[in-house]
Amino acid sequence: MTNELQSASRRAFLTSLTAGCATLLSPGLLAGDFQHIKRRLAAPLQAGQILTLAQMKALAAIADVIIPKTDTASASEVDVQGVIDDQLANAIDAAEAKHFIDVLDRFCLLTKADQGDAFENLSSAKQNTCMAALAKAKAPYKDLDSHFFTQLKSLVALSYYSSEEGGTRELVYDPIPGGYKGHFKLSENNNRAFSMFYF
Amino acid sequence: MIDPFLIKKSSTTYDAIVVGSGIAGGWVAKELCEKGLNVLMIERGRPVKHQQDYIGEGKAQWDMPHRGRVAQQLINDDHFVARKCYAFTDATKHFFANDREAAYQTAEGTHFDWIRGHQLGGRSLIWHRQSFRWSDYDFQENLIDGEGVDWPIRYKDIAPWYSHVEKFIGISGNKDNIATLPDSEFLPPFEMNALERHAQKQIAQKYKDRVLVQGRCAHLTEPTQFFLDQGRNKCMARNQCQRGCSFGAYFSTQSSTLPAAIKTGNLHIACHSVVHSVEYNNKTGRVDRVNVIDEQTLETREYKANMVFLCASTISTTQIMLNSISDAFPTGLANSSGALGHYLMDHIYNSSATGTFEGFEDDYYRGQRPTGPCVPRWVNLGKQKEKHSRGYFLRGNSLRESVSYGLNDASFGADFKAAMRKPGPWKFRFGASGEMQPKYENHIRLHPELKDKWGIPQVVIDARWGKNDLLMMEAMADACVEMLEAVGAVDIHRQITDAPPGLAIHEMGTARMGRDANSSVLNAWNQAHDIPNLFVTDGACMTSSAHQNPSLTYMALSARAANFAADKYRRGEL
Repeated sequence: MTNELQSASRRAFLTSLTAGCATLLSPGLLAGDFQHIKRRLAAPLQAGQILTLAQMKALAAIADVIIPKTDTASASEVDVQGVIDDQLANAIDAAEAKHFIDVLDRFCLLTKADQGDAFENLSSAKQNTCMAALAKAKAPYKDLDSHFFTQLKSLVALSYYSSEEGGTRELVYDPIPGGYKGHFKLSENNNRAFSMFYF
Repeated sequence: MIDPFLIKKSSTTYDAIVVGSGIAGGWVAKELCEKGLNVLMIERGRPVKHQQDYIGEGKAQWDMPHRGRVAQQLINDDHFVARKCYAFTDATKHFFANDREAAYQTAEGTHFDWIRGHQLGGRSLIWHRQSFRWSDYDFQENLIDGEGVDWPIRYKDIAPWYSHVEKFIGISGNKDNIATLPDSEFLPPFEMNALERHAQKQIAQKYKDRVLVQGRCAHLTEPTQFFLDQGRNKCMARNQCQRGCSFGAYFSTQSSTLPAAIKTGNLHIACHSVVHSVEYNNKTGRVDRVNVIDEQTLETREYKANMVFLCASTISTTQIMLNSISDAFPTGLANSSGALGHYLMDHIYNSSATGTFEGFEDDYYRGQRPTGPCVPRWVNLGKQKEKHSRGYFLRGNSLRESVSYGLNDASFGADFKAAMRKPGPWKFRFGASGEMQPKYENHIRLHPELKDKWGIPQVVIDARWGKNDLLMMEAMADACVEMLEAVGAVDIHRQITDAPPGLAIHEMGTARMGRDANSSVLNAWNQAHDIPNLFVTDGACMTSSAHQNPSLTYMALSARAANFAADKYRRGEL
């Protein structure tokens, strides 16, 4: 793939991910009906609709490096890997999804060859070293699709912040603002952004 | 509420049939019913009940399949055109037509994205609600560069009807006293945010011919008792409009005109009724019945009336007319002029620029506003001074992104997560809306062989940008950049897309109004020159496109024509 094509593909991929940003309302959320999600989160990791069990394990570990557990849940704790699997299986163009999975496999192979073990089995420090190398397209990932990190980060972040945890605990969830206020200070919002409709 | 008024078969001869239930059809039905006429509204799609059938409303993204994205398989199968609409999501997809069933073609070497809403209420449920009056400059534009025919009306003819519809539907905006953008009957405007107020001051200081004013839209900012009595409430700024709004805060057929028409007791509604053609009676010289194919069973039936209003949306209305052949009108209903199908227009939305601002860190806003500030037209007023003829205005918006601003750098981990709690830097975008010239060669016709699911000949759309349109795109992009620089933006990105006509979703023309029956289909009252009891009041009637969003003008023309027809009918003159 030429750089130009890669660039066009990347733009299309990111555009498709972020199209239609808007706010949201959730009587369902307000009613607290999330048992189905909680049941899924409690289950052990398993193969997805399109990703293998091995790919799901790698993706969960990668997602936690991008969005780790702090005073709120980590990416894998809100099933970001399951959301990404669903996006790849159903909502993303099949050719783009296949390309993403192929590059993910290549990343896993390069990591294992370089570190001697699968990404998910590495120490936290080594995982961070690998991710920093990927982000800056350094060895051993120099020949990997240069847009893979951005695609990966975008999928993880948008999946996380479109979750209940990301949308309501990391950010401010305001389903019924009651009207538009143009005179409003960020400090009045505890210096936090409102959550949006990300996909 | 609508159930008692739904019909299927009927032997009644109605005073009037209104084909279509969107913005134009809703207004015609309301006005005719309130004048005491017995009216049948024909809608090709299913009934949609206010509040009850807004099935995507109120869902959080984590409660939606695929986090709100529409499944690729469904897009590939049924929504390969609709997917290009900004408002098409999992929460709104049921308000977009099935592109496979309602198939159409485009001429070789051209492309046109035709976005449709096939349900009661039509596209009034999913429109963008920006509502601007046209000015006298707009009604005289065809005379200046000689493209198209002269409008048979002027601003003074439509101004009272703008007021009539604005008082009923509710338009938010500020009285700005601008010649190219006359004031409406306003409810209070939406507020500008801190950056927009800054930009407004900068433009006022630097330009004598330009101002930044708040956009105008069909939303209730501070509803009066008049609106509350209709069950309509204040806009909550949720930005969920196209899912349907149970607050009734924006104008739609369901929230506004349909309840008013139903309240008269004079309205009946035939849903699932795809209009095949309108019958012309050679003996009387009038139309007297509408042939319909059942949307679900494909059975045929007919409805009779003393007059017919076509409000099926621009291209659909003309498709019906082209498919209504008789000895008297072998090339299409009321087409003695040969203009039917021609002079298709859209707005030019291809040009924009986006810039970033430093500072204003503690300034934010609450809610998602349904409009944004604009710079009204300032070029080519009264005569051409630029390389291009006609004009444009700039639509703006400023915001702070959430999360998406942080996706393109190398950060990750706890620092990234902490940074994402804050909104991103301020961005300001100007997107231009330009007037497309009416050209004979931009047209629709019926395919000689291909038919849609209902056996109706498919439309072939043949439209492309002209030389003037392309010149205007360049000028508009330059203007967007200039205005961003003027207000202090940095890192400005200029863009002109290669999108073909269609996606402004302002398709207009193809059955234009005009003074001369030899060159236009409709007269000054939206009445067919050739057939006195046939009216067209949707976008098909437009003689030029101006640069403003057209729906408010459709409403005013519809109300004006309906009252004209009703008065004539009552006097036995129609």
